[in-house]
Amino acid sequence: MSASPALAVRGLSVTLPTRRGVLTAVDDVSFDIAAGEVLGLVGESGAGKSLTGAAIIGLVEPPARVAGEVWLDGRRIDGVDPAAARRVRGREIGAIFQDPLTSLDPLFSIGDQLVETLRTHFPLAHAEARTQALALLGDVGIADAARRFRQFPHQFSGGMRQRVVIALALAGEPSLIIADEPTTALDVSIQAQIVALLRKLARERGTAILLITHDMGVIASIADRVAVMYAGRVVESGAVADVIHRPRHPYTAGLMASIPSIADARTRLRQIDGAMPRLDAIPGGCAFHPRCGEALPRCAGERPTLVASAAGEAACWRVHPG
Amino acid sequence: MTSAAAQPQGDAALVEMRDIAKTFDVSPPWLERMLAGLPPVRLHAVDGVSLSIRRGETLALVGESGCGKSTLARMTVGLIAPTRGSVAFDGVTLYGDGASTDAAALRRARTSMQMIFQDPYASLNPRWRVADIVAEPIVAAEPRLPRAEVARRVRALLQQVGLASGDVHKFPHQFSGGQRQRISIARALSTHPAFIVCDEPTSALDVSVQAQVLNLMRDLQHRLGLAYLFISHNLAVVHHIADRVSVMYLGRIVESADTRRLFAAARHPYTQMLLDAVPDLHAPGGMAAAVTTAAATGEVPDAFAQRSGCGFHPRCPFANARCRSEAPALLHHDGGDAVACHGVEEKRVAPRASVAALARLAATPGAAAAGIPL
Repeated sequence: MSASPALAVRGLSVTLPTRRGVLTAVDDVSFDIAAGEVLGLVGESGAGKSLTGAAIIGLVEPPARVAGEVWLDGRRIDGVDPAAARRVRGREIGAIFQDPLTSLDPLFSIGDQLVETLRTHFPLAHAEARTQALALLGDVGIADAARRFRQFPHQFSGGMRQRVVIALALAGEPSLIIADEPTTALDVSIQAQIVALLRKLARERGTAILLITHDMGVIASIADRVAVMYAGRVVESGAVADVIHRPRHPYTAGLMASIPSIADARTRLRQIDGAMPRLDAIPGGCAFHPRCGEALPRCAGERPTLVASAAGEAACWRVHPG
Repeated sequence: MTSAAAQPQGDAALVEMRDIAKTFDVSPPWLERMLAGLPPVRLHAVDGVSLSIRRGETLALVGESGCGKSTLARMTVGLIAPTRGSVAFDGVTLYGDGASTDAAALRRARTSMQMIFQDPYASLNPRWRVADIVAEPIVAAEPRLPRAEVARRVRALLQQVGLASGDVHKFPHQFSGGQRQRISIARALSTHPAFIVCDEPTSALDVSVQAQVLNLMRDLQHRLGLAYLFISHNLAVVHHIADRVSVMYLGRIVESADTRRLFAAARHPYTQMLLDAVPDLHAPGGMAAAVTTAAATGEVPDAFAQRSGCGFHPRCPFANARCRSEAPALLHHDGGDAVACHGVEEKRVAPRASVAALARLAATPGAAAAGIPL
């Protein structure tokens, strides 16, 4: 990997103690994101992808426990004291969530919210912050920024609100943006606009983006690399074209084949029978083996590790029998 | 070309909606209105839609949030009364103008129409066991059926949708999202319907589970000869499951066409924009090409906004003075297709395939020779 990636995650785990034992929601996840790179983290509900994002920002609250290392621009940011963590969270990592309304305060105009955010991060006079805020609104494609500046979140449409949230995330000039299902609540035509905007920001500002989504179409259109999660673990990662067109893990292959496509005239979709296991019932060995059509006897007993090769990483005994 | 009023075409329709409309009164309270001198506010959710669905056919209704597709679905099965227009099932007018008064015929028609909802967590009563959920419509339709016979039918229905007959004693929370949607389907099938309205039935499901449910719906259609009205915003799913597609915008149908034709040569500028906005990972270069070339512009419109002319004109790259002043009528073309667009009528707007479909056609030799206009 490159000299100093924008984000390096090493052996990240999130465990949840319950009365019936400790559940592992995120299990030994490691990856890097370079500056200006978009890494797509995909998986179905319950795969642990959102919790991975939350653990990186430090939003996982006790009793859940986080283990592992998170490095941002070569500095370790996990386990620092709460005040320092707060600075990192606001300024060096921007966050975009699925529902823009929950990220915006309904009682303040979006201009006030941007100015406040900017002045929290930088020693700016109000007028300077206002100028920067207007520039940010322009950057995220909000027309007539001067008038929009005084308006409140309820006066914006869903797509426009998400643009405001992106402007807020950019305010601290972060080196990393974590976007958790940023387009899921939006209509398709608006989704395409937001995806194009995120991609442009990554290219132009050199911001690393961790894009968490269940939508492979969105990943295909914006990500450079993709990591596929299943039952808390990364099962495959690699360049986006490789993972989509030449998936090596049977779960990824099944997932890709189950997505209906306009560019394809199949009448019957390939389906993966069964469902993602619940956290309290993750099968031993490879977690996917009960649903896998190609399982070997050893898949039930031995857990495959993520092995790197030229085509990316995969955790499957069929791909890496070694 | 004939005018929209001069239909119907094709063989006898199972479900026939004629000029159906729904207006919601969303005015402030009367006293407040009088004191402030405000006019009443009306929302035209569905504004004069005519659709027909044949036996064994899947008609997909596509549109963005607020276009009126769910209101239309609810009017079809009678959950909402239309403000204007009528719904007929198998020749019996159920709702709206000229509704039949033959109680027995109405009852028969109503049990032949069922609905599946989007959220399988909200559409099943959490306090009822699966056996009771699936049995309720059976008992409602045939109150004198012996209990043993009801139980036998419930078990058969569960097996038909791929659940174990032992699941009858479980509660909804013991099932995953996909299994719950199977329970919804079993309940919908319990009265032997000929027609099912499916309102975003897979939108709340993960893709691998979505594939299971779509395959099941297709199998059941083949086995039981069901007709579906399939409401969705996901064009890839629609492409996969529908025989015909109607595209809705601001309460009106803007284009209706055979599925293959629609995806190979979309006529209405809104349909073209929707198709370009779909992320498609099987197209070379993913959606990247689509987003940069055709970036969908504008916003989903506010249904309250005063409309003049074509509802799509503020977002339409082809709009001219006529589009801004005169609402286009839905004009029928040969083959049962219809489109409401001045630009198409004046031949200013050419039919176009989606970027993804183009990529596939380019990879298929002879596609152009087969007469598919590109």
